[in-house]
Amino acid sequence: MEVVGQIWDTILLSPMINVLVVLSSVLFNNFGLTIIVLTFIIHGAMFPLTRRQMRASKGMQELQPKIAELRKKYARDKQKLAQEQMALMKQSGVSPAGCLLPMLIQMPIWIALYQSIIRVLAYVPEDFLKLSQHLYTPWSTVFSQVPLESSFLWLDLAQADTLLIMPILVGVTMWMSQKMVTPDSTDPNQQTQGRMMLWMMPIMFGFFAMSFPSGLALYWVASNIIRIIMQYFIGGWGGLATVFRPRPAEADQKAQKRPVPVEKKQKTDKAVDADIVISRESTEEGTDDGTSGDKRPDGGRSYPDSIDAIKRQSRRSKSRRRKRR
Amino acid sequence: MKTRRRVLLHGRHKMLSLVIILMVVILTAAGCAGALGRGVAQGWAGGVVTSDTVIVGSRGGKIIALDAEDGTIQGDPAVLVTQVPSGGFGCAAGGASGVAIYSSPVISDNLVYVGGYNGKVYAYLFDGESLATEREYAFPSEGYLTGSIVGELALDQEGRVFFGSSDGKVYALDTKLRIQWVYDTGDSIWSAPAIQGDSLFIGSFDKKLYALDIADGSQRWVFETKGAIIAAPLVYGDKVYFGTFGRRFYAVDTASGEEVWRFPADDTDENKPKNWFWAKPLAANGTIYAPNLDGKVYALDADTGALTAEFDLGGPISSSPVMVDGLIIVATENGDIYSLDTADNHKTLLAHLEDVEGEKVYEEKVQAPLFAGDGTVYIHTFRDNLWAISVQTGEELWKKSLTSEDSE
Repeated sequence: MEVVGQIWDTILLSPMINVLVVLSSVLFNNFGLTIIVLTFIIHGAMFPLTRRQMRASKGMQELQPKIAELRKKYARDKQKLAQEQMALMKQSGVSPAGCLLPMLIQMPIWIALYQSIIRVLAYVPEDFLKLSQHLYTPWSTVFSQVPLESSFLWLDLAQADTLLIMPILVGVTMWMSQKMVTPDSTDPNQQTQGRMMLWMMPIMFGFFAMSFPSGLALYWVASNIIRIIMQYFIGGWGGLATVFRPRPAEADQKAQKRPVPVEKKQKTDKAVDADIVISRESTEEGTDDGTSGDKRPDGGRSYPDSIDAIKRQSRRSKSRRRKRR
Repeated sequence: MKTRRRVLLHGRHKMLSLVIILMVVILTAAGCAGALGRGVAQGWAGGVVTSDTVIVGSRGGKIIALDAEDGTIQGDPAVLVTQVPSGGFGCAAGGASGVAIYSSPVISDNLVYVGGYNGKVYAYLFDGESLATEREYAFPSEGYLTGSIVGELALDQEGRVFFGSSDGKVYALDTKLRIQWVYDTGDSIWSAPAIQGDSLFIGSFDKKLYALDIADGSQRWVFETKGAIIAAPLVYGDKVYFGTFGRRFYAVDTASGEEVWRFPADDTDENKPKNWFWAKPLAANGTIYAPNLDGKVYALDADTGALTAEFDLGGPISSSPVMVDGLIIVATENGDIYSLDTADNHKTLLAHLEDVEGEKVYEEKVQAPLFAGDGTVYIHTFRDNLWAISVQTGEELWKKSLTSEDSE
C-alpha cells in the first residue's frame, strides 16, 4: 500500500503541486487564475482522448435508431442481438469503451488536484508540512512561493463556497455538458436511464462542491465550460438544442388539434413499438406500395395491433353479420 | 419479453454503472475528508515542566498533567471542545468535538494557557499537581476568532499572553485573557512570537518579520524576506534570528531592523539548504543551531553567519529542539532522537522511538516541539504517546499513551 502511495505521489501529486506553484508565480500569484489555466492545460493534453470520446458518443447517438431496429428484430434472441450490435458498432467504428476511458483517466487527476489544492493553500498544518516533501529541490521558486494566496473573486479557494454560487454553477454547467451528449431514444428504459444520468451526475457534483474547497469546484466549472465548447465544435449543440425547441409530446398535442391523419398514425406506431408485435410487420408485408395504409381517412385506426386483436375483430364482425341477419 | 430486455439493458450498462459507483465511492471518501476538513487537523502540541509535573496537550484536545517521575496521570484532564457543524453527505456528524492543539501549554503562576486550533485561547487553574477541568478564562469569551491558532503562545514577565493567528493578527491579552491590543499583518500567522524587553518579534505568511512595541502593539520595523516565515524567531544578544521558506536564514538587528547577515550569503542554489526552515532555532556558545526540513541542523556563527558545522540527521526536522545540560536535543520526523554537543559539535543518536503493540512495531513520528526538565527530554509523538528519555544515556524512563483509558 505504501508503494502505491509513493507511486501516486511521484507520478501525479508531486508534478501537480509543482506545476500549480510555478504557474501561480507566473500568473501574478493568482491561484484562481492558475486553476483555470491548469484546466486548459489538462484538457489540452487530453484533447486526443476527449475528441475520441466525443466522437464515440456522437457515433453512439447516431446508431440509436439502428440499435432500436435490431432490438425489435432480435427481441427473442439475446445472443444474436449482442452479436449484431457488436457488428454494427465495429462497422461504424464506435466503441462504448471510447466513451468511458477519458472519464476514467480524469478521475485520478481530480483527486490529485484536490489534494494539491488542500496542501498548497495551507488548509491543515499536517498536510502543509507534508507538502515540503513534494517540492522539487532544483526549482527554487516553488519553495518561496507557497503558501499560495487563496482568495479569488468572492471565494476562499481553500474553503467551500458558502454563497453556494459555485455548487450551482457546477451543477448547471455539468447538466449542459451532459445534455449535449445524451442521445434521444425511443426506448422507455433507455430514456429513463439517460434521464437518470443527465440529472444524477450534476446533482451529485453540485453536492460535492458544497463540501469541497471551492478551488476544486472552480476546476469543475472551468472543465465543464471547456467540454461544452469542444462538444459544440465537434457535434454541435446536440441534445441541448432540443431544450429550446418544443418537445415532441407538445408538438403532438398541437398537431392533434388539426385533423391530419398522418399524425394520428404516428401515435399508433409508438404504441406498436412499445409492444414489439409481429402484426405490424405482417401489415407492412401486406402493402406492396409501401404506403401501409397511412393515408386512410380513418388514420389507420381500423388496423388491428396484434393477432389477438385480429381474432377479436373477426369475431365481432361475425356477430354483427349474425345480428343483421 | 420485458424481463429479457431489462437483462439486456443491464448487461449493456453494467460497465457504466460500475464506473459511476466507483466514482461515487472514491469521491465520497475524498468528500468526507473534505467535509471533515478541520477534523483532519489533529495537532502536535508539546508541553511544559513545572516542579514535579509535566503538562502536555494531547492529540485528542486534552490538557493532561502527569507525574514527571513515572508518567502517572494526575487528576482529570481538561478537555477542549468545540462545536462542529455537520459535514456534507452525512459523513461528519455535527456537535461537540475535541480541539486540535498545536500550541503547547504555557504556565504563569497558577494558570495554564493553551491555544486551540478552533481559534480560542483557554486558561485553566493549576494547583501544582492537577488541572481544573473547567476553564477559568477564555478568549474570546464567546465564539471563536476567525483564524486558527497554530503557533505557540508567548508570555512576558508580567504574565501577559501574546500570539498570532491565521486571521493575520497578533493579539496581546492580559493574565485574565482580556484583550490589550491587536496588530494586523494582513496574512496568516503560524509563527510564535519572541519577546525581548519591550519588543515582540513575529513572522508572517506575507514573508515579513515584524517588530512590535509590546506595550501598545505599535510597529517598530518590518523586515522583508523572500519566503513565508513559520519558524519562531530566536532573540540572542542584540539580534533576532529566523529561517524562512525561501531556504534562507537571517540575522537582523533587534533595534534597527537592519540585516546583519544571511545564510547562505550568496544567491547560488547549490549552497542553499534543500528545504524550509520550520522549527525554531537554538543558540549556544556563540553559535546558532538552525534545523531544516532537509534533515540537517546548520551550525552558524552568531556574529558572521559562517557555517561552522552541519549535522545530517537523516530525516526532516519539524520539531523544535530543546537544550538540556549543554546538549541540544533534536528529533527527526522518523523518530530518531539526537544529542548535539555544543562544546565539540559531536552528534550522538540517543534513541529511536518505536511503539510496540503486541507483535506489531510502529515507527514513532515526531512533529511536536520537544520540552525538557531535570536531565529528561519529553517527546510527544504522532501516535499520541509521551516519552521521557534520559538526556545522558538515552534510556527510556517511561512512556505514556495520552489516549489510554486513564487519560479519559
